[in-house]
Amino acid sequence: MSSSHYPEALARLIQELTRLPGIGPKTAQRLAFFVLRMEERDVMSLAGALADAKRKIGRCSVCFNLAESQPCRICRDPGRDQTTLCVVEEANDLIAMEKTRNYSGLYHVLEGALSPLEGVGPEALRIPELLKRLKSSSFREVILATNPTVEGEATAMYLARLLKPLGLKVTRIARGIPVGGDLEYADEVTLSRALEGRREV
Amino acid sequence: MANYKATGLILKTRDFGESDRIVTILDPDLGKLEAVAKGARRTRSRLGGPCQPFSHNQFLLWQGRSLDGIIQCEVLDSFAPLRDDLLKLAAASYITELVDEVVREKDPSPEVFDLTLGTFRWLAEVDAAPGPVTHVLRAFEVRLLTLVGLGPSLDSCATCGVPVESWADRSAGQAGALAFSAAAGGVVCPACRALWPSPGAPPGVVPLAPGTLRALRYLAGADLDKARVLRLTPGAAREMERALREHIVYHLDRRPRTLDFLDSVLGWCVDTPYHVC
Repeated sequence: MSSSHYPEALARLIQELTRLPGIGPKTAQRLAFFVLRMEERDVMSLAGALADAKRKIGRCSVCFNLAESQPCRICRDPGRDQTTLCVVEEANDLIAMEKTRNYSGLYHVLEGALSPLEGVGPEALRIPELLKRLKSSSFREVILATNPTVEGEATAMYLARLLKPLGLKVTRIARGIPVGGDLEYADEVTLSRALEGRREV
Repeated sequence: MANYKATGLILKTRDFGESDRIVTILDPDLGKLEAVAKGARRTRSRLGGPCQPFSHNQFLLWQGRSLDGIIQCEVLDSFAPLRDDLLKLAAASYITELVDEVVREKDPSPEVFDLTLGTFRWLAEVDAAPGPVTHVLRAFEVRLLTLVGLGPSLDSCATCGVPVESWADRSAGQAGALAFSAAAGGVVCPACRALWPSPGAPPGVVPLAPGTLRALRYLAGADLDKARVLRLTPGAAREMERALREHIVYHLDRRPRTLDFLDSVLGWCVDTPYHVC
């Protein structure tokens, strides 16, 4: 499938689309043909959205969430609980937390997790900024909501050790059986965590 | 294609695609192999929990064209203590990096497997303090290097080949007479050392106390059960660490990636006696 079969502009579109994750040459071709059939208005809107997203979205200077303004919407919101801080690895984890509608405090995005095997040390994460934030604000509790993977656990342990001297309440999100899951199909590691973290009802 | 079984330790994992994880397994009979755990990063995956570094599992795998895949996974020992403490995690990461580095793919070494499994068991049991953890690491390093044929020369001078017995004790009284050189490949006798251009020694030379050399030689010939009973003074432990580190970096041709993390956690422990979580 040589690109010379296509008119130049179409070949270029296909080429650009293949840059996206999970898009191979065939899918790119299908998408490109679809774009050609779309209304011009819709195509312009898509192109504008792509450019806008890239141009306008940056990192919040306070919490490092993805933001269109400085500071981000969550950091600016006076209605949020200013005494609780939830530490997450990536901005998409923050969005997952927000979707619960169960948390009304503030966030801090580390932009990664410690990985001794990959050589990712604390200096590669937004940890100095976290410490600075905690020292200068009125936080009472820090929730460590990193992933329950080795890297996430390592990060949580590291932060726990680092934050304890600040006299804050430091908590770790629970690990256990997912809602709608089945005990029989839970793995041993998860199940023993769930047992450790059981609570009185 | 055919399915097959493996029983091994997970050396490392890395994210792959949207929700998969590629797992490096060390099996005593199959050697080192890579397999994909499909969907292991999804919350409800049955593979996510067991497919974590250091876990000792039984696997059922399918043979793929380029990459094999994990169908089922049964935990024999999850080695959770190695992940629940920062120091042990750093140490276990260092251990798996070394094993991963010296073992080639599909080149079985039951001895290296047994050593790694034994070291994990030992590390899981010891106190999470610098002394005991570094003791485990030194014993592991010496044994691993010896098993894979990279062991330093400890029984005779690495340069002239004269047996240690004939010079080590005689030079015991002279401070700094014994030395270890990674470039020479092991301990160097005072006579050979005297030939080094002065001032100072070539880079990578570590002075050894006679007791440190004795301890190194003991560990090189001991299995882990014997290695446990050795009493290491802090001074000897430090010298050993420096010598073995020079030796490892020399043979790997690079500094292990996990060392920085290990050193920073060790540094912490020395500053303040701590108990994490």
